[in-house]
Amino acid sequence: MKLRTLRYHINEGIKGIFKNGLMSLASIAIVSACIFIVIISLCLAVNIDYILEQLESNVGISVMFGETPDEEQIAELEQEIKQIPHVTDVQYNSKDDALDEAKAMFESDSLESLRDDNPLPRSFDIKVDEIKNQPAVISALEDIQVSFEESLNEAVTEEVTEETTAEESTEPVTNEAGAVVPVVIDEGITEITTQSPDTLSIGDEGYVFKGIEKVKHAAEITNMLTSINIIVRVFSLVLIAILCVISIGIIMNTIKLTVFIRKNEINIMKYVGATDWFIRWPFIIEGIVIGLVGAVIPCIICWIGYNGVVNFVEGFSFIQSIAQLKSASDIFFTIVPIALVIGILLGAIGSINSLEKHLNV
Amino acid sequence: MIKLENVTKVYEDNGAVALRDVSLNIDKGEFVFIVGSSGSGKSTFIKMLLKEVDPTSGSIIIDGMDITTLKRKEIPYLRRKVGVVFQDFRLLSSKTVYENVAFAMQIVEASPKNIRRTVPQVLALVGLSKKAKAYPNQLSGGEQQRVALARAIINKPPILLADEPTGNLDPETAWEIMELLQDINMRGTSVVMATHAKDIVDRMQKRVVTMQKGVVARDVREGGYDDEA
Repeated sequence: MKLRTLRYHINEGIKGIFKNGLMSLASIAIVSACIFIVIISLCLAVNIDYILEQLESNVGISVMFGETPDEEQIAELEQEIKQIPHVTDVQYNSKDDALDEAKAMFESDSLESLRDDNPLPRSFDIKVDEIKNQPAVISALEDIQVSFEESLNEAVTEEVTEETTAEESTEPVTNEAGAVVPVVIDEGITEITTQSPDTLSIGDEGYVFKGIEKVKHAAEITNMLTSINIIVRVFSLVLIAILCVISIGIIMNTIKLTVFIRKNEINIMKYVGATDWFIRWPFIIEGIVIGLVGAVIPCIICWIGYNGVVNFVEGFSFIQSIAQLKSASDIFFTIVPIALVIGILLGAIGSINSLEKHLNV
Repeated sequence: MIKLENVTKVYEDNGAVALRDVSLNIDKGEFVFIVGSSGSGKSTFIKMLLKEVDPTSGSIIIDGMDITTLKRKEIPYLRRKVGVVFQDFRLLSSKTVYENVAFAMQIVEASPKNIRRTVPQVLALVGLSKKAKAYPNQLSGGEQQRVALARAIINKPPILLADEPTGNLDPETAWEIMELLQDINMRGTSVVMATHAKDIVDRMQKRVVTMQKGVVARDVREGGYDDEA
């Protein structure tokens, strides 16, 4: 096709849109609605994925020590833990580290007085590659705990036996201020708890309860988000499919109306020797322009709206500390081309479908 | 230029026989009237030359090409060789006289320069130079038919088909159109005109092919409407 012919088709196509103003508007509106839903569900899906990713990288396992293991034994344990499959990182926190962290968390220097008689336990922060592997790692840790305690038991004297009875008490111990404090097992590892490092604090129930509870909790959030994600995707896919069919239908009707109005014209074109494609192009361009306009409108609205949501969420620092939303530009660099392509396809398919039977002259 | 060999057309929907074993030769530069009463097969004849309908049997050769074997996508190229005017003019009402004529050149992707040069020439030929910017509904019937003629000949087709071109016109205007057709014919274009207009046929004294119930009843070299072969 020559450039001047293309220009002719574009001119004719755009004229067609204005000739059937109302139907064109209806088509644009329905395409917009369809693409609006596409964009919203894409935003949701991308962000749920992104949040899941952040949560997975945040949720780790924390292993706390009593007073017994010396630095050498802890180093041995660290080596042992690193051998567990799916463990990606093991970080040791000394008592001072724990105090610094607590100070930072409470934004208070008053805890500094505890420095010399620090009740906070030493611990390992263990990172696991994927959240679903957490239970396996925990049971491996429990095995290590058992065997470590057994190795200690072999070496203990009888005086220790009395103290071990205290270990059997499962009641959490509260201090004078009423805060729950960890039950410290002198013989070895006190507790295995899992944690999201950002949320662990003194008095947090996760600190004293069996870590497995905490794992389940984290796993539940992840499972919940994953299933929400699936529901959102299925729901939006169905909705998108329905809306696409409706859009194509309405665009087809618009073009059919144009074609009907211009049936004589098409007839004349055929008699004068116009090829089918020469007749089709203006209609296809009409459909494409309708589709494009229908795509651009929701892109602009959603971009502005999404930016608003991101800014709103940024105002809540506690949400920010757990997970963040993707930035608008990040998301829309991908979404805008998708939306435009969908718009163009809807328009073009609608036009081509509605033309065929009128071309047989 | 146009050659029909044993052409038969039976319409499938009602079984009507429109043409029955018609053979006919029209030479380059000839002016031929196709006459006959309604239902005699005139319209089917014209439609076949445009490949709007296909014969049930037989072959139609136009400018050396058997059009019965043409593929759908080749039809536009046949129609560019065969200019056509109708009784009802069939102009694009949303376009001006100039645009209606230029449109036929845009279809064949002529250059804008060529279009700007040729359209005024052809409008001058049909006597419509001053009406270039008018729309069809601002023109008289005769003027509209002139626009249709200008459109039909602008791409210089070797054949011009005219299906009752004077049917909607008063005798004086009809005669003006006939003069134009004769003028076009003098420039080398074969003209095939289906008509009922006895006075015109009698006055022109050209070849007359009379159709009757789907067969060629008479074929007179230089004759009138009712002349015997």
